[in-house]
Amino acid sequence: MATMTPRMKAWLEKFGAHIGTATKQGYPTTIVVEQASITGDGVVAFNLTPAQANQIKDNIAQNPYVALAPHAIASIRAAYQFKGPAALSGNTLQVTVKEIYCTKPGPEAALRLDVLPLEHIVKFEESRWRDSGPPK
Amino acid sequence: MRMNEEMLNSLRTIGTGGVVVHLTTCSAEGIPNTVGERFVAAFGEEHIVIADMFAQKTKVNLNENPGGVITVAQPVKGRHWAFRGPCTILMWGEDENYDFHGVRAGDVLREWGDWASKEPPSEVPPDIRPPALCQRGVITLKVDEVYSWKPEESGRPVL
Amino acid sequence: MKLSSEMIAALRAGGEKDVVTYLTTSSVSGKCNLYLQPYTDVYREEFIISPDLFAQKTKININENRVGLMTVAHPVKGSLWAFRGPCNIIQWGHPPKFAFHGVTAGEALEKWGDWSKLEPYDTVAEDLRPKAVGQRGVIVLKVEEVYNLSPASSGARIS
Repeated sequence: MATMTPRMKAWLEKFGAHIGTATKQGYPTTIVVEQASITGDGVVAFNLTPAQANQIKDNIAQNPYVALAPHAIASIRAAYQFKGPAALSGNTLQVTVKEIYCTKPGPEAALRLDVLPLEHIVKFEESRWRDSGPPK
Repeated sequence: MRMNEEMLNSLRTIGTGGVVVHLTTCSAEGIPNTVGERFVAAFGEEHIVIADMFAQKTKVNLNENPGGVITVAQPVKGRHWAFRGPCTILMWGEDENYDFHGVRAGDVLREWGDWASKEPPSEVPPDIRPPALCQRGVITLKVDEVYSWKPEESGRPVL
Repeated sequence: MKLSSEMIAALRAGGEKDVVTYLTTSSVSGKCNLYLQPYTDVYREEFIISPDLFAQKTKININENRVGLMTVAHPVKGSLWAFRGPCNIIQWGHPPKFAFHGVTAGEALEKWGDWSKLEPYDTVAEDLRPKAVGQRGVIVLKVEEVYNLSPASSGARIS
């Protein structure tokens, strides 16, 4: 499991994410969930509506690996992508984050962050963004 | 599939804020990649174009699995749209008569191959603005389907 | 480590004995990628510099695993070398002070950020050269090890 920083957690919890899923053959379906809760360092839980759960349940069953990109203003301010296996239990989608990428446009685009020590990731964030999370 | 006027207008807003979308592509084995895209527009009534300035996994995915979903991320303002269909990157150097689902590479590249000249990123705050732009091509998605991502009706066809 | 004068002559931009190389990188999980690189130069006798013209998987790999291995592909007579060491891409947009093993983005981009000024792309045969080029940065390989590629003594350390 990858370790998420406080900044990542704060933006993701408040604004949720676009959740990319796919069939095993690679046919994508994206849903949007407008808030999230994070337990521990890198487990993200989304409360889906029945429509959303129904829309992706077959994809998750055959191919649980998903991608998360922050929603709304967080899509601009919190340019990250999180990937990992997901499990759908009732209407709760739980994603265990295994990979974290910076998607900030520019030289850092696609930089993999989870392979770095946590203190390096935090320093990276401090050098790239002026905020440490969404406005209170 | 033709997009409606509201969609076309939302995707045609140049220089006044525009919309941010997420583009989801996936590898041939089905590992998805979802990234925010700031430079987006409609091309004709059936295609959506995005500047290829920083695409990496997106391009690797499209090279092996040419399809994608574009979802509106910001500002939403009731535009809970997900556009799905065949997707590719038309690169500078492509044969200009190459036809991708009804559009010619030359036409797309001439209009959108130098995005910064149409839509300079200067409106974006300095800490999130791309420091340098180098566009190699235009990501082009042919809209075959539009569904709603609105949580309570997610997946419902919009058109 | 310092490269020999013979190696430098082969790898130097516009040199008489210009070689074509492959740059091998790997994902953190060990999946390798070979990237054809016909353009190289040498800096401070220990860095191999090349342009990022079309790097995709190479960049994804370097973004998670900063090691590279450059092998000479052609012409190989007397040049069966493999150069291994830390590797990174310095991109347009990196601040000038950004440094990789002592090579700053400022100096790297000033010297090699527009490769066509250093070595015209038309030195490569017309049917082989890229139709259009969008250079996003330079790939920097710090050579820490050179080994032999010849079948009889493959892997033997040269220096």
